[in-house]
Amino acid sequence: MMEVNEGLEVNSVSHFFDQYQALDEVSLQVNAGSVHCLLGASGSGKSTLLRIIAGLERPVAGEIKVNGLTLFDEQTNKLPEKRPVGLVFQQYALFPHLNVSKNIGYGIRHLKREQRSEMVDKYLHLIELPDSRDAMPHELSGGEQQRVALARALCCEPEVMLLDEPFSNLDSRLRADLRRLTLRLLKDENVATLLVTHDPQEAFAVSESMTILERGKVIRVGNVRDLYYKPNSLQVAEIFGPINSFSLHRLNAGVPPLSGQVAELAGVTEDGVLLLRPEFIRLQIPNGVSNAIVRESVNEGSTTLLLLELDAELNVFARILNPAPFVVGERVFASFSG
Amino acid sequence: MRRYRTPEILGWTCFNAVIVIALLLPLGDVLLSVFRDSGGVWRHLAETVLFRYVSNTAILAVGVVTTTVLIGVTSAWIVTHCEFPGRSIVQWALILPLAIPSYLLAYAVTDFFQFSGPVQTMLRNVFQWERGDYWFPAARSLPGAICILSAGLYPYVYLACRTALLQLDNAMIQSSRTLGVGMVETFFRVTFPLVRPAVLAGAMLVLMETLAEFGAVDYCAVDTFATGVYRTWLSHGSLVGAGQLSACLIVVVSSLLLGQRFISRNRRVATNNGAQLEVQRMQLGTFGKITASLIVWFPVLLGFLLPVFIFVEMTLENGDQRAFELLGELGLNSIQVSLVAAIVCTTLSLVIMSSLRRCPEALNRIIVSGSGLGYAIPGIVIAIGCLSPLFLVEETIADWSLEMFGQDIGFWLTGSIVGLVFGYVCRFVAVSNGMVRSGYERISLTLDDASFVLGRGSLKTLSGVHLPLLSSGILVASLMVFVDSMKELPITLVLRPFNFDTLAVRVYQLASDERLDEAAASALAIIFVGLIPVFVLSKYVFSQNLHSSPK
Repeated sequence: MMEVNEGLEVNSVSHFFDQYQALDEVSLQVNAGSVHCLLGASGSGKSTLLRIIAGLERPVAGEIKVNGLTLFDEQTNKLPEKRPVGLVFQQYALFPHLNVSKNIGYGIRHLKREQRSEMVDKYLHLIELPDSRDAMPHELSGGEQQRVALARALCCEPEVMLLDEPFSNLDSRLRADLRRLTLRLLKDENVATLLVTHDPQEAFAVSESMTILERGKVIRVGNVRDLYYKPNSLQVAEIFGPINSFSLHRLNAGVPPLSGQVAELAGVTEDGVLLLRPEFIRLQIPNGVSNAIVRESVNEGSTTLLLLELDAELNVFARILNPAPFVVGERVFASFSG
Repeated sequence: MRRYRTPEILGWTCFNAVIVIALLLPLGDVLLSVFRDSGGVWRHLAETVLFRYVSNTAILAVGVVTTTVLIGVTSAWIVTHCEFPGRSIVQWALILPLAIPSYLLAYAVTDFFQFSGPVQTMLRNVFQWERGDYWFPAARSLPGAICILSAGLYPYVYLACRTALLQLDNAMIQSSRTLGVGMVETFFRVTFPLVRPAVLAGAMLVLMETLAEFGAVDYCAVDTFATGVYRTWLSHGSLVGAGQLSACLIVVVSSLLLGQRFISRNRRVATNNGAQLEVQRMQLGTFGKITASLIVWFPVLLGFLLPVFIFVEMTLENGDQRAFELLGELGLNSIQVSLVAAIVCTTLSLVIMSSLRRCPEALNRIIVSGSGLGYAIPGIVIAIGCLSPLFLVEETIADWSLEMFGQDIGFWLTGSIVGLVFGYVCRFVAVSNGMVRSGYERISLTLDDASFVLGRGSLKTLSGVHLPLLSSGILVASLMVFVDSMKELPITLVLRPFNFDTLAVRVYQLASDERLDEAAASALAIIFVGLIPVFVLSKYVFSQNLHSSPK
């Protein structure tokens, strides 16, 4: 029997806008019931990829499958309305002339009236807006509109859900709540979810695996932990914040800039650079011996990020738990914490 | 905060009131005629032709509005959402019929399809038919008039709908598609409901133009209210009877205007939070491309290309020395009166609108808005309404002059172009008002404050700040009034002095005498002038379409 992959499968999709290559052989896989993140700066092609999966844009080449069913390849190109794919826009795109219940029930007109009303009620409860049935979209807050947009897409019972920066217009507390609610609903329905974001913190919060796009190319795929701690290039590493780079050659030659054991959770680049997160630099109050001076200090809430200038004329980032016992200008003793 | 002193406000308000009352004199006269005795003419009309006027006007209005909405919305949707060769040309060409006054369209199209016209002649030659052997739809009929007016007026709906479609957030349509709803159903459930207010506004303009239409329906021998007004005045010689018919028309038009206000009173605009997705145009197959092209080119063909072709051909065939001499003489007349009307209208608008900027009190605002009423009133009604007030003023001043200076100045108003220009101004000052107003709205009030603080008085602010910034608006305003006056038929027909013909009047007379060939050059001249504002307009409308680089 042929093996059927559950969820969404994108194989070598390429796309051009005139001469400009928007996507270059992009492949990714999202399992049913899981969330995969598509991370990249604006203009990296992530929205284009979503639109291609939804059928709103026709790629130049490639293959798209959902639960074994081909949506696009050289022979087939299913219309957007024929694809089991839901899409939630950054701007929600609720129909301004329809009330909330009609918005939610928009895609299930083929059902009988009672069934439809039942479905709408179910989703109104799930998104915790049971009393907003008759409200018009402009009467809702941003977060409420986003929930309705989500319910509207879920109501069609899609097998794949595409979320295009769905939380970026909301304030941070609302964002966290809505994210939790959204992901719970999607997991419960066993939907394969692809979430586009340019915010690494969001990517960490929602998914275990992610794909990083840059200028239409996949530059790294993997689980979140590996991408953060074991980046394979400085470029990938810096997406998730500051990182220290050390020459492997010098480390191996027995002249390390710091003493101590280098942590195992570190990345190595092709050209022999070791990449180490600031969490793995240990700082101590010097008892006589110091090797660095604190140049900058950024309070991150529960942690503080320090920029140190080593006596060996090297700058190093270190992250320590708050309350931080060091201030700018103080001398410290820094070492690797293995 | 009150910027200006009370006497100044009072002064401006009174000044505006005088002007607006003068401009509304024709309207008032027409309405007052209801209380005058028409000497049995009204009863005669009611017994004979009134029912025909009402039913013809109603059928014409419903027919033209339905057809223009169909053509306008379909073509706007196709050029917005489909990709086919020539799309960028036709999206622009679709507004060309605006350059042709409906009466010229009627002359050309009727000539083309009549018994002796090229189409029927060719059919007879090919099939060896004789008269009576075949049936052919009559162009000079009510259905013919509906087709002709629709071909000339659909651009109003097209423009409104096209603009609305371009402003529509494409995410609406894409959401609908990803929710499992096809292209056609999406149109009816999302797109159309969202552009409906714009389509309604466009249809409203079409309706007003249809009710006001004189030349085309007259030529098609369809008796409507507008032609009835003219005939009652000309053949019954009854100004009161014509006024009473006009009053009916005014009641209809104002209830329509009120109705539209009511429908769109709290219309929700489909706003989106900033970012809009660009329109994705459908790639069509060969069959689709051909069908789409046929649908969008047909109205352009009938409403512009065909009449221009016919007039050009006639001019080339029959354009003798005499025709061109006539063209020069009539053209000069047309340009003269239209130019004066344009200057008067624009100056008035500038004064009225700058006073409104300085004194935006409610009373002043209401008075000023009254100056725009004339545009909604059919030209023939304005013309009839102008007659009695003009005669009254003329006589009074002539008598007075005779008494005081012993000099008979005679028909100094109706015998000169002053009366005609007054008619144009009553109708078209709304056009220049709109242009100047929108120009003023783009000038921030802080600029006025800055100018005042820097020691410039209001006159110097007007000349040093407002006029330079308004210059393009003023130019467009004068241009619009100029062209509208040039094309205007019924006002010219009724109010022109003796032995004073313009291009429009001459074409009308020659066409009525079945001597269209001789009028072709004049018709082309009118069309040529009419193209100017269409170019200006197209720049305004299609400049919104320029942001289309892919994400």
